[in-house]
Amino acid sequence: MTGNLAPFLVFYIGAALAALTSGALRSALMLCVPLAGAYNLWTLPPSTTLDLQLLDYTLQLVRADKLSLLFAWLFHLAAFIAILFALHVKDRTQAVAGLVYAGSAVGAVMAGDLITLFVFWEMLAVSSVFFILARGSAHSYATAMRYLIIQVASGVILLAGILFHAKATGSIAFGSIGLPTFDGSAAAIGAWLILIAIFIKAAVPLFHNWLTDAYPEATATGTVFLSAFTTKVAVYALARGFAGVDLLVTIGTIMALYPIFFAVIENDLRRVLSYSMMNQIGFMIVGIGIGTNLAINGAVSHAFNDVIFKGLLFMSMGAVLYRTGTTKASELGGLFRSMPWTTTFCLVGALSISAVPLFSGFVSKSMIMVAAIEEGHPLVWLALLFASAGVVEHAGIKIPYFAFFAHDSGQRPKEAPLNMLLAMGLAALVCIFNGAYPWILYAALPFPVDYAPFTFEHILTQVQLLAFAVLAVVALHKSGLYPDEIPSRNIDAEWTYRKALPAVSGAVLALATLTRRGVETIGGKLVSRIERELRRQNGPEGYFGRDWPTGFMALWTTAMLGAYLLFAYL
Amino acid sequence: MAKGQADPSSSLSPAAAAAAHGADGAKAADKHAILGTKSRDNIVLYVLYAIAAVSLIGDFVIHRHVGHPWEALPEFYPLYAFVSIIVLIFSAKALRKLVMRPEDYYDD
Amino acid sequence: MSVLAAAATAPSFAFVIGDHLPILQVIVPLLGAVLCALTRRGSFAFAIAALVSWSLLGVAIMLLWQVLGAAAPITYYIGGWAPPWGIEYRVDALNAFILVLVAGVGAITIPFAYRTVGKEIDEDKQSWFYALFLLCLSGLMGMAVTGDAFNIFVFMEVSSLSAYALIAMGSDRRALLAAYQYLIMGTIGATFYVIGIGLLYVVTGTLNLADLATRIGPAFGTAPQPILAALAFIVVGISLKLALFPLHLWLPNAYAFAPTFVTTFLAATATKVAVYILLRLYFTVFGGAISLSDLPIAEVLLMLSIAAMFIASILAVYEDSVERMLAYSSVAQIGCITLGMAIATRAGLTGSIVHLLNHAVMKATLFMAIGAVVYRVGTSCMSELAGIGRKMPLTMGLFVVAGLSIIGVPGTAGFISKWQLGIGAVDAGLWPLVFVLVGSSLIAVIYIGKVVEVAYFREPGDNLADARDPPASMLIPMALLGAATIYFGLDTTWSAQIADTAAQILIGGLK
Repeated sequence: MTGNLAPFLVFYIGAALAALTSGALRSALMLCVPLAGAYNLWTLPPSTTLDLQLLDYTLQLVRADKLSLLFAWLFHLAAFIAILFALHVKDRTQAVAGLVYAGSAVGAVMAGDLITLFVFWEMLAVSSVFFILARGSAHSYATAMRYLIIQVASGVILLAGILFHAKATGSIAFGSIGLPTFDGSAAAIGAWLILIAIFIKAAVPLFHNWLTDAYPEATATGTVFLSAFTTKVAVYALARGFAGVDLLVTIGTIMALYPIFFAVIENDLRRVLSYSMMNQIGFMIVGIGIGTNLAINGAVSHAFNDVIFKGLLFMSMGAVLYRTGTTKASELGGLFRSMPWTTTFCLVGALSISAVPLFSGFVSKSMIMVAAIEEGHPLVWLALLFASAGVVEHAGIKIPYFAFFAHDSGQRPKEAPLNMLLAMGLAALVCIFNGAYPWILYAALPFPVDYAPFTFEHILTQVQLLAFAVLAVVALHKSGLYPDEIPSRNIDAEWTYRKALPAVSGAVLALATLTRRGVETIGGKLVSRIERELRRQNGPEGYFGRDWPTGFMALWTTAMLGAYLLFAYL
Repeated sequence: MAKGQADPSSSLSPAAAAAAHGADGAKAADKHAILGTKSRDNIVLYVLYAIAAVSLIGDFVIHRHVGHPWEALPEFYPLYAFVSIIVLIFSAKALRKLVMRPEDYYDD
Repeated sequence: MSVLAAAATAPSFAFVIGDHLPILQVIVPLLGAVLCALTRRGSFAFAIAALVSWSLLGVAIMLLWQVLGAAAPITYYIGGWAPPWGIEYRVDALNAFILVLVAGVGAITIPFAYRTVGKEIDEDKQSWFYALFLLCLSGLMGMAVTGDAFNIFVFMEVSSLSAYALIAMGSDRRALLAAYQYLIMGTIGATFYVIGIGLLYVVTGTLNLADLATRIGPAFGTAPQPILAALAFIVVGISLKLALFPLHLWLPNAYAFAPTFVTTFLAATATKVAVYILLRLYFTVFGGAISLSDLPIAEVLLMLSIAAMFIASILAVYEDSVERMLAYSSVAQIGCITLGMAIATRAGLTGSIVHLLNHAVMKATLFMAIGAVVYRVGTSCMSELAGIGRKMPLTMGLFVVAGLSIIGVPGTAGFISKWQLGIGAVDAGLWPLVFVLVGSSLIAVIYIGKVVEVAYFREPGDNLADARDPPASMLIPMALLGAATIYFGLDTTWSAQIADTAAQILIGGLK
């Protein structure tokens, strides 16, 4: 490290400075942080590492190779856009949290060993929760706690996995881990635990509800931060540790399909985007699971593009939320009249995610599709094609249509503030640039790119797919078969822990109370008198928590001694 | 391409809509037209139809590499996309019966 | 005093004093205690206590240095009488490590006493306070340094009796009851221990630990039951002293109501020395002579450790008083230590021993931080401490650092312990224990998180109007140990590596 800082440190120092400043100075400072970080990253000598010795292991705080650098660049760009978008926010907590969060994401992807990864993994969890807390309602507090518990649990599972992995391999370096068959060996347990931890962070179906629960609940600007980092760190971790693991192809396919059905019927447009996010990550996980150079390139470049266009869509919805106070489809419509710029940028995001030629989604997603068919996954290919049509429906049409067009809600909010427009404009520019001139992105990919996106054939088939997907929607709409936007809550897998589990534990408690009452009546007054007597003697607190009389302590001691002696003489 | 839809309700009562906006003058903005006026909506729709038609013809002009056996089918992509959306929407509507709850479902 | 006389004349002062390091560990604080008792002024007594503590640390470090350089344990015959007739002090890597730990905690925390004792103890009792503290210190050092089973008992009583009196000096009237309960329980523990030793003496005719290790084996062949009974008595007696769940009931009140400095010192040292005694007797004395599987001690220890790590942690979550919360957390952390003992592999024991140090460092930091809060605010109840983090930023900052270590965050000492214990568990094929460790860490996240939430995310109330960071004499010890929490999380040369050497000694002696 010749005079350069560890990349995450730039953000952490920025966070410390942001905590000490306020007003315009803090705004200026925050914009400078990703720029300074970018300069630091640019001048970072190739293949830099920063090592530290701990126990018998080598910690590698910084590892700069092609894969980690691409993600680091992406996170710098995303951080700049998100900070610009949130520049009008006066909340110090969110400012500091945002920088720590972005820095942790950079730290996580540049971590060369698993323990460093774990630290940033948990930092991501802790710093991001403030965006949800900042809504300030009792509702968002509960959401934030659910989010935090699941995120921290993911880290803890990761740590347990790391321990097994380190024991089995003698190393904590974060390279390819692979997935051995589960035979109860330390290596297998380690790999599976690490994989499950990443699955939680990546919001793989049935581990995903923290995302669809929390992201729509965060602040208008917070969701933009949230959408950029957490899940993409997980995608990076999969690409680094589990490339070519067959299971991922299946999981990714399910993940690309599962959310699109929910997205169709969801009323909250930011929740639609959350489902859309899962769907896009599904594509990436398929690419990682296929594991060829082309597939990995596709997955990684799609992650890059997704951060920008999904960020753009979340920003446009954030602007709508900021101006109207809602993102419910049933309450919106017709906003293009007074928010033309936001509408335009949202459309660029919609075109990009739909993978329209010359927009960014096209140049990356098609790599994954081609890899799927070339590597002999015909069913997966068909499923992804289906999912692509689904993307057009929920992200390409539904988001802009219900917010900005559709029936006129009568609302005439002001155009978004300048800083929001600039941020959206920048993201839109990146979408179009990467879509029309993908070569710079391609050059930054981990493997040499031997892929031509703009062939007549690719463009034709994509246009066919898109045009007829839209036609189908139009047809359904005209015939009145398209589902209306209804204010509602669609239950998903979170039902298990938000309804079923409390119900079951409630039932168990009720049963226990019932049994106890039964016992009391059967045992007559004697039981309750003893209980009352015990409670009177021992105070109102819990069993072990209350102050016990000395004699009771002595009793425990005697009991333990008695038990041992019994063993000795048996 | 993301805006090629007409609100179905607009065809139900065009007279009422026109009456509501009669004061707007010559251009007669339609409250139910998604782009402000019916004519703008129609332009977008016609463009969409044109693109769709050209892409259909393109299938016979440009040679497609066949990776999946179904791809050999003429007009495979338009067909698959159209059917996909129909299947998706109808299964999602069915899903609603299973999962839709009042908005305050979890708030107790 | 012949040592000092020799110092005046002999050119090789260092050499002479180097021969007598083991006895100095006990003599220095003992004489200091006498001196303190003779003074009438609290500040003078404090000066003596501070000087004694600091020089004691110097002695302990020199001794550790000698031990690490020597091939065999260092032995010292009291009065020149060779064992088994005389008392032998026997120092190897394990107890040299414990000696440095105890002396180090004493030396670093003693400046903290100056202000808190000044506030909590009446002026006329202060010199007695310091005398008792030095007595307690000498008792703990004696327990760690001696190689004689009965001598351990004597020093155990010295340290315990002074600890009872110290706790009773707490300004809360409930301190008396807490001290009384501790006295009863401590005495039961000591009695059990001495019964065990008595049984061993009857069948082997010796009290020297090294001798016992060789004689128990043959004696076991003729009369196994008295020896197993002795083992049971000793294990239960010491389990009481180290507050093994569920024999911990005396601990929360004793820690919560004792004077702040006493809580800090005892929490960091007393239970740790008791663990050392258990390690020494269980592994070196009994483990070297008989098969340990004759009694299900490891199994019971394992179950109780797991229970401690969960139940005590959950109790900590529900405590409103931060002091009691930390006390329950101590019970849980002691569970971690005994867990490594129950695993009984080299890696597991390394985890145990290194956690003795790491836990002492971080728990002392936590108790000092909350002691400083009590010093300023007068209470440690969370309901009264909203926004304290903004009023006492350095204090609460150190609390958070040590709290992260309790949770086991990488970069802190706590992580090293947990990691070693986890490796030990996987090593021994007991891999579900990894989830036990991780699970109890998660509960620690909750109770530390609760304090953080109260301290930083709430608006300070009127009761905190005058709260600010404490004076340097309290802040510096806190900062030193807080820094040590980070240091031992990054560099394990002086913690895990020595612990590993000590663990090898214990495992190597096993039959």
